[in-house]
Amino acid sequence: MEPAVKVTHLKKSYRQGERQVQALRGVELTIARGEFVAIMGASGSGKSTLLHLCAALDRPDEGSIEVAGQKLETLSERQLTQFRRRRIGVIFQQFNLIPTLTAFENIALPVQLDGSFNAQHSARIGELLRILKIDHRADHRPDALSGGEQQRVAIARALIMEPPVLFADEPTGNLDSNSANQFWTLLEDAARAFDTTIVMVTHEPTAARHADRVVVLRDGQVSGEFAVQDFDDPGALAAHYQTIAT
Amino acid sequence: MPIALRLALRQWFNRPLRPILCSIAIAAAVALIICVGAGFDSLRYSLNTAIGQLLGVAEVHVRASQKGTDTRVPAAMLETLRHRPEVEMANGRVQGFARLTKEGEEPRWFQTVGIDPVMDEKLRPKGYTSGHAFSGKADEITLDSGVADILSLRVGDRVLFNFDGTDATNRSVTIVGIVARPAIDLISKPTVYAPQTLFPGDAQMPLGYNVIDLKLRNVEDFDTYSTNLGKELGPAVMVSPGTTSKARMGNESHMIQMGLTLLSVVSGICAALIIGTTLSVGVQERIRQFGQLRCIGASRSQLVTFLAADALLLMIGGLIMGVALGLGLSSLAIHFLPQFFLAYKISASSLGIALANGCLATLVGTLVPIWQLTRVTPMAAVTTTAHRARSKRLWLAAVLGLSCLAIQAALWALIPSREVRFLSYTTVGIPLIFIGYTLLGPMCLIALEKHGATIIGLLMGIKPSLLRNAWSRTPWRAGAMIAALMIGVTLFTTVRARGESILKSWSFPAKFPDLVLFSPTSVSAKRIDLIRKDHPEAAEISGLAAFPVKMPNSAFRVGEVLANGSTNFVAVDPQSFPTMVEMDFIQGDRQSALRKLAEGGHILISKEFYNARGLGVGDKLTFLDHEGKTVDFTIAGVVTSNGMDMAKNYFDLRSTFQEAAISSVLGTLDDARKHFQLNGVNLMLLNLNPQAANAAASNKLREDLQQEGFQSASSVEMKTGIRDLIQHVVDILSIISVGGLCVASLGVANMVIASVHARRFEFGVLRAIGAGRWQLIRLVLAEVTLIGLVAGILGALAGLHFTFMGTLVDRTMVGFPTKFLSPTWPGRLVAIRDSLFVAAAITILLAWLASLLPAIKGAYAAQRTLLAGGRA
Repeated sequence: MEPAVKVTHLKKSYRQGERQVQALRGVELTIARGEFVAIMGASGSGKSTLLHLCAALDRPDEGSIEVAGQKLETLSERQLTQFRRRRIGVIFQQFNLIPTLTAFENIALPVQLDGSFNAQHSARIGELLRILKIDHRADHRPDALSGGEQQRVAIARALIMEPPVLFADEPTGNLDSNSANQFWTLLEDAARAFDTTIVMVTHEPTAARHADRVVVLRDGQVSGEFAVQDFDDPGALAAHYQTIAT
Repeated sequence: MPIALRLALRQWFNRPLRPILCSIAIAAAVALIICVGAGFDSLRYSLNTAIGQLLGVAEVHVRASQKGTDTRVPAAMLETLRHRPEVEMANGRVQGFARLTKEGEEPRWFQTVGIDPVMDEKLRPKGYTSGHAFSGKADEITLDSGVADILSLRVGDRVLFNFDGTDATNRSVTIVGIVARPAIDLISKPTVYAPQTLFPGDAQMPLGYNVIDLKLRNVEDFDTYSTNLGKELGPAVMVSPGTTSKARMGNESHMIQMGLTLLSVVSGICAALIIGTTLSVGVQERIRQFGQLRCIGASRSQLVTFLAADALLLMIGGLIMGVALGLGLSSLAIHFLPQFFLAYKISASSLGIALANGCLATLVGTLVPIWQLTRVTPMAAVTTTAHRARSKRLWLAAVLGLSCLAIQAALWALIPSREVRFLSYTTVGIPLIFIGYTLLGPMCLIALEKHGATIIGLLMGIKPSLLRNAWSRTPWRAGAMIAALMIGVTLFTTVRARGESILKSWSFPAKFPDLVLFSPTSVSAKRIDLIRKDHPEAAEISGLAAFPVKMPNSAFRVGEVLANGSTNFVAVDPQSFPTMVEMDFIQGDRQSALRKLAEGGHILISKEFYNARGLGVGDKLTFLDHEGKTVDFTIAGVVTSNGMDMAKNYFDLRSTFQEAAISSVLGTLDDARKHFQLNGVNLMLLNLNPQAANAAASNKLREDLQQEGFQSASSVEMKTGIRDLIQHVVDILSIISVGGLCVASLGVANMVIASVHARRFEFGVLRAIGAGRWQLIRLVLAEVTLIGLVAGILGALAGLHFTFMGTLVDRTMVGFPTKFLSPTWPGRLVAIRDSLFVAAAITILLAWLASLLPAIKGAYAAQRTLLAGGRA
C-alpha cells in the first residue's frame, strides 16, 4: 500500500543570526496510511522543521518528500497552495485562528478559499462542531473562546476539507491537562471518522502516548523509533525516549 | 459576501482607529484637490465672465504702437475705420485718471474711461444697477459700483470732477447711472465713465483714442485681418484680434491651473505615502495572520485580494469624506473671498480629478504592501514576526539615498541647457531629494541609537538599556515614521527658509529718496519745473518713466514666457537719478557707465537681465522703436537697484502698462523721447530740503501734491509695505505646510498604534516584572523622540536643500538672484541652526502628540490582554 508520507534523505539548513544551522541532515521516514505518528526530540533536533517541510510550508535543500501521493518537490507554487488547501490539514500550538472571524467562519475558511462553499459544507461544519463539542460556540470569536475551545476549532478547520494527512505541531503545548486529554480524545475520534493519517510533533511523552508510533530525532537525523503499544507505563515510554534522544 | 470583503470589514470594525486615520489622510488629499479645483473653476468662471464684460463683442482692437506712456491713436483714424466696408461698428475709448470729490470729503483718483455712450453700449454692453447711461451732456457721468461704494454715491448725487488735480479746473457733474461691477477686483479697477468731451485736449498730445474697438462683417479670420490691417495702417498703430487679449487671460488661467495641478500632485504623493506606510505596517502587523492563511491554502493572489479589499474600503471612506470636506471647505472659502470670485463653481472634471487622485494615491500606496504580501510564505505563521533588519540592507538604503542626492546634484551641474536642467529638476530632482533624505533615515537612526538611548533615557528617566535596541529592532518601521514626519516638516522648512532667503536678499536701499510720487497722467518737464518752483522744500526731483518695449525675435526664456516676453524700459534723468537712488555696479565702471548713459545710445541692464540672458558690458541690445524699426543700445553697465524696482512695483505700474515684464533696462529720458516718443514721466523721486526733512514738512508736502493729483509714498511706508507683503505670502504658504504636518501626524499615529500593538507581549512582560504604566508611556515617548529628532533633522536638511536649489533656480532661470538664507556666512549658519532646531522641535512634539494616545492605551490595557497578544 502507498505510504501517506515518505521522506527520503531530507536536508534543510537555515540562517540563525550570523550562523548557518543544519536543521535536518538526511532524514528518512515512512508513515503508513491511517497511522498516527509522533515525532519527538529535544529542542533544536529538527522535528518542527521536518513537519514544516512535510506540510509544504517550506522547501527542503535536498531530498524528497511524498505526501498523500504527491511528490512535493515536483509541485509548482500554485500546486503547493492547492496541496495545502485540499490534501493536508495543519494544527499549530498557537491555534492560529483568524481573530476577526467567528469559530464557524474560521472553520469555513479553507472551503471558501477553495471557492466551493455550499450547504453541504455548512452541514459538515455543524457536524464537526458537534463532534468537537463546541457547537454552542460557533458564533464566538477566538478571543471569547478558551484555549481548549480554540484548539478544537483548529482541529475542525484542519479537517473540513477531509484531508488524508493531518499535521500537528505541539498541539497541546498551550493547553492544561484536562483540555489536552479532551483534545486527544476528540482528535482521535475525528481522525477515525475521516480516516486521517496524523503526524504530530511533540516533546511531551504524555502526548506521544496517544500515537501509534514514536519517531525520535536527534541532531537532524532519525535516531530511533518505537511502537507506543510496547509501553503500557508512561514512565517507561519516557525513559525509553530519553535513551534514544540523548 | 466575498471572504476578502468580509475579512476587510471585520478588520475595520475590530480596530477602527487606524483605518479611520488612513481614510482621513485620503480624505485630506481629495479635499485639498477639490478645494484647489473649485478655486480654479470659480476663478476661471469669474475671469471669463469678467473678460466677457471687459472686452465686449469687439473682434479687433486698434491701439497706439509702442510709444511710451499715455499715447493715443489719432481721432481721425476712427472716422477712417468707420468708412471701411467690412467694419460694421467702430468705437473709440479714451482712458485716463480723474479726481472725484464728494462734498465734504477728501478727493479720490479713479481710472476713467471716456466713451461715446451709444456706440459703447453696443460694443461693450454694461448692466446698470440703477440709473442709465449718460446722454452725452458734459455734466453727466456714470460710475461702476466699485467707485459708488468707495465714495458712497447714488444716482442723482453731484461730485466735483477734474483731470489735473487742481481745484481750479473742478467741474460739477451729476451721476446718472451706476454700472454693475464688470468683474472681480483682480482684473478690473473701480472705473468712472465720462463723456469724451470732458477729457482735456493737450497741446502736446492731440486728442485721440487709447483703443478703437471694431466689429466686423463678413470676416472670419480675425488674426489675418488684424495683421493685414496693421500693415495697412502703418507702424504707429497696433492691431490685435480680440482673441489675443482673451488668450492672454487664458494663459494666466493656464498658469494658475499648472500651479494648482502641481499642488494636487504633491497632496496626492503625501496621501500615497501615508496610505502606503499605514497599509505596509498593517501587513507587517498581520504577517502571521497572512502566513496562517497561506498555511490553510490561501494563494498569494488571494492575499493580494484581501489587501485590495482593505484598500478599497479605505478609499471609499476617504473619497466620501474627502468630497464632503472639500466641497464644504471650498464653498466656505469662496463665499468669504468675494473680491476674487464671482460665484462658486466646480466642474465635473475637477471632481473627477480629485476622485482619480484619491484612487491613484490609494493604488500607489498599496503597491509596496502588495509587494510585501507576495513575499509572505506559510512559514510566516510559525516564525517570529520581527526579524532583525540586516545591516547590509540598511547600508544599501543609505548608499541609495546618498546616490539619489548625488544624481540630483549631477543632473543640475552637468546638463548644459538651462531649460532642460530646470525641467529635469522639477520632474526628477525634487523627488530624488525627498527620496534621498528619506532613505537615509533608518541608517541615521541606527547611528544615533547608542548615544541617543543614553541621552534620551537620562532625560526621560528610562533605563538606557531598555532603549538601546528599540530602533535597530524595527528600523524600517521607524524609517516609515521618519518619512511620514518629514513630509510636513520639509514643506514647512522650505516655505520658511525660502521666505527668509527672499526677505534677506531683498534689502532696502541705503540711498533712497524721501518721497516717491506717482501721477496717473503723464507729467511734462515744465510741470516738474513748476513743482520745484512752487515747493521750495523739495530739494531734488528726478522724473522717470517705465514702459514696456519689445525686442525683435525674442528667444525662449523660461521667465519671459511667463511675462509675455516684454522688457521694461526705465527712462531716467542720467544726472539726478544716480544721486538719489542707490545703484551697485556688478559690471562696468560707474563713472564711465554714467557718462556713456548721458551721451545716449547706451543703457544699463539689471542683474536679473544679465543673469537671464548672459549679456554684459559692450554687448548690444536691440529694441523695436515707435515705428517698429530696430534701434540698438549698447550696454554700459550691469546694475542692481532695489530702489528702482521697488518704486516701480509699489504703485503697481504693471496694470497701467497692461503687460508684465520680467526684466528691466535703464536708459535716458532723452533716448526714450527720441526712440519711443515718450512725452512725460509718471514717477518722480523727491528729496526734501535738509531743513524741511521732518515728518511734518513731509506730510504737508504730500498733502499739497495730492491736491495736485499725485499719489505719494514715503520710504518707510514702502519698506514696511513690501516686507509685510512678503511676510504675508510666507505666512499663507506656512499654513498649507502646517496642514501637511497635521496630515502627516495621522500617518505617524497609525504607525505608533501598530508599534504598540505589536509589542503588547513585551509590555505585558515589563508590567509583570514591575514596570509602572507611566514608565511604559515614557518608554514609548522616548522611542519616538529619537525618531522625531532624526525626522526633524532630515526634514530640515531636505527643506534647506530645496531652498538652496530654489536660489539656483532664481539665479539661472528667472534671473532674480536670491541669497541662500542670508547674505553672510554667519547669518547663514544661524539660520541653518534655527531651521534644524525648529524642525526638530516640531517633529518631536508632533511625534509625542501622535504617540500619546496609543501609549496610554497600551499602558492601561489589562495585563492579561497584553500577555495574551503578540507573543511573536
